[in-house]
Amino acid sequence: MTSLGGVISKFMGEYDSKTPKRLKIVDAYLFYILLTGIIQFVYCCLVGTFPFNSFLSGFISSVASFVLAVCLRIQVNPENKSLFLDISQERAFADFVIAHLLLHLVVVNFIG
Amino acid sequence: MRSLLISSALLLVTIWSVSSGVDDKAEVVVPSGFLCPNCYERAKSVLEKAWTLTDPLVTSYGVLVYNILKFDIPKAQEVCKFLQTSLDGQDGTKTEAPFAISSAITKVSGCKAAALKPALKQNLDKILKEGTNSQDIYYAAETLKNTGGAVDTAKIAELLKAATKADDSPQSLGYALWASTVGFKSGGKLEIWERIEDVIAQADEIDKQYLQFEGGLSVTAAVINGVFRLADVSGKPFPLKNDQVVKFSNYLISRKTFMNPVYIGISGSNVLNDANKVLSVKVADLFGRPVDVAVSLESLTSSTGTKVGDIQLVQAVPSSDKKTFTVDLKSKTLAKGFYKAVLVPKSPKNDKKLILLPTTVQVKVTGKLGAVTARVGVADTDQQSQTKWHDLNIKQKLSSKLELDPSNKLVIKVATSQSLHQVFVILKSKATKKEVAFIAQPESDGKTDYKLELDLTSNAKDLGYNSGAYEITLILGDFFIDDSVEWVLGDVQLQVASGKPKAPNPLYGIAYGPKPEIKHQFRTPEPRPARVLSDAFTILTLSPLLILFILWIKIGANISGFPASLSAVLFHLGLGGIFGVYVLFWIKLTMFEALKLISIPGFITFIFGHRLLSYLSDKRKA
Repeated sequence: MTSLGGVISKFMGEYDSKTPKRLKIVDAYLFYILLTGIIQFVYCCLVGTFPFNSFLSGFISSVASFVLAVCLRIQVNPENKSLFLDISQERAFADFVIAHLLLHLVVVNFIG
Repeated sequence: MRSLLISSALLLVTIWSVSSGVDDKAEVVVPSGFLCPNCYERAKSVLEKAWTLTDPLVTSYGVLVYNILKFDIPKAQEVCKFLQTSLDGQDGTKTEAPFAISSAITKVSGCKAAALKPALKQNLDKILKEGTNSQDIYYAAETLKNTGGAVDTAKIAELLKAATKADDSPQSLGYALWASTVGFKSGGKLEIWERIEDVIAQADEIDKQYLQFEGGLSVTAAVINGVFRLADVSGKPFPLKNDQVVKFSNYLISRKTFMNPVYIGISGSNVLNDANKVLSVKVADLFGRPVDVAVSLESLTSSTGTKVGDIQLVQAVPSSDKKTFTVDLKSKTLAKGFYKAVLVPKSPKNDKKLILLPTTVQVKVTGKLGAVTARVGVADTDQQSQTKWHDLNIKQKLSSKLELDPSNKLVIKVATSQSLHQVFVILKSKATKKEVAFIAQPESDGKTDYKLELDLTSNAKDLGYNSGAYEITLILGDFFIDDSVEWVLGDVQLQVASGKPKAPNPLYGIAYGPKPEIKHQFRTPEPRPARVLSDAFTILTLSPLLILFILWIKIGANISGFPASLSAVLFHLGLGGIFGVYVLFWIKLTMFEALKLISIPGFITFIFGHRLLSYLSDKRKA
């Protein structure tokens, strides 16, 4: 067990020191989205899916936001710079914003 | 008439060829008939007209048929002269006449066709150079050959090839076969021979007995005759199988008669009674035209098979237009019933062409009902007291209203002078107007007295357990009676045994009027969770937002780096505006309204977002 604790503390230390602040902000956002999705899912398990479209749009909103944020994180990660040479960080952020606008238009339409 | 002549000529030619050229060994199909001596005589009589020398075509075909049937041509010299002058008058615009006349001339002994007139020859030559119709080609070639002209067989074969290619109907191919034989020299090429199989394949078989071509007698005769001629001149083996030949000849022979069947039938009513004892009979041929015949009623047989004695060959009187005849039977006494009348037509001039067959028609003789009496009685079911009878003559009514209770029976007896088909007693309720019909049965078989017993206990169900006043009606009818009777006997007061009528099945009831309206039912919503629970979870779902801010502060987000420019402010305001519209869309707007509204903050966000991000990008690069 000590080794597992050691691994975790080492991982956290590495993360703390080596990850750019920009990515840490995105990670915090991802964590927040994850929590929101989990809470909605727990509600659904406890109470039921009715009204189903509301639950679905909320949950889909969480999942899709998570996916979009992951995409953003991949694109702005300096380690992946070689993969996305022609996509600047600003361009990635603009894509993220537009994708979000579209996503939530659909979500609001579906929420009923 | 002309087509009839042509077809009869072709028919006879063909039958002659069939009978001379075929060795009949068919096992399945056998010939179905032959040309009787009468047929020859009839053909001869049909063609009598030819010798009046009025129509050159009729005369020509007359000569040709007489030649085939080996009759002597009467007035041969006059006929020859007539044909010669007729041929002289032809100009060749029509090819049939020159062909027929010139062919006929060659068949009259001692008659020779003069050289053709230039106009006619020119026309025929033209057809033989560029003709497109195999019939015309044949007519033209044959005419030239008959009048001693030269025929270019190679050119004709070429023309026929084109003509049969354009039109491969049996008729076209048939005449092409004929045309190929004109001027044929043995050893010459015969491309048309290959086509015979195609033509024969086009024949329709009927009942496995007959083979014929579409177009009937003339086309069939033309094709078959062409095949025979070609086989004959070329010396090649005959291309048809024996059973095919028999089927074709069966078809041709089946068309030998041109007889005229005569129709005889009743016109108008076939009912005879005292008022009308005259039978009118219609006589006509199959086209409905009057025929010159005399009609008589040979016999009248009743349905039991006995002949009416004093009816033997009653002559029918024709009307002025000869279409209807009347047989007067006023002086005869006829019992009621069905009769079979045999009507016999006879031709006073002994016309052999008319088919005169005795016709049997059914005649019905009706009469009066005769004497009828009825007795209405009230009897006890236990038969302890005597029945009280009320005797009625026809059309009389009961003098008083009879009263009956469940221990009584209503008895109605009817005595007639003859057996009747229908004796009904109808009880009509005065209150409900409902009618119930009962059948009075003969008391004993074959007798003419009828009886109905209505027991007010056991028949209560038939009356629907309805007590009350009823009107009794007696109906007497028969198909041999002219004056059927509906006779109101009078009123009765019936006290019927009580009981419960069977309720009608509502499934089979007919409900008039509108059906109850079917209201649309919305699905009842599922029960919602308690308000507290959902509110709590709403807050819970929002709570990670707090965690997000805490994390961000911990990480140390660079808020101070927020560019204090107009574009940055407007970009974020625009984004906020778009989400504001989303909220409105969720709450009350429709999609189109929302999209229209979004265009404003969307446009602002796009412009200033672009400016902000390019500014940031430039700043980073610098």
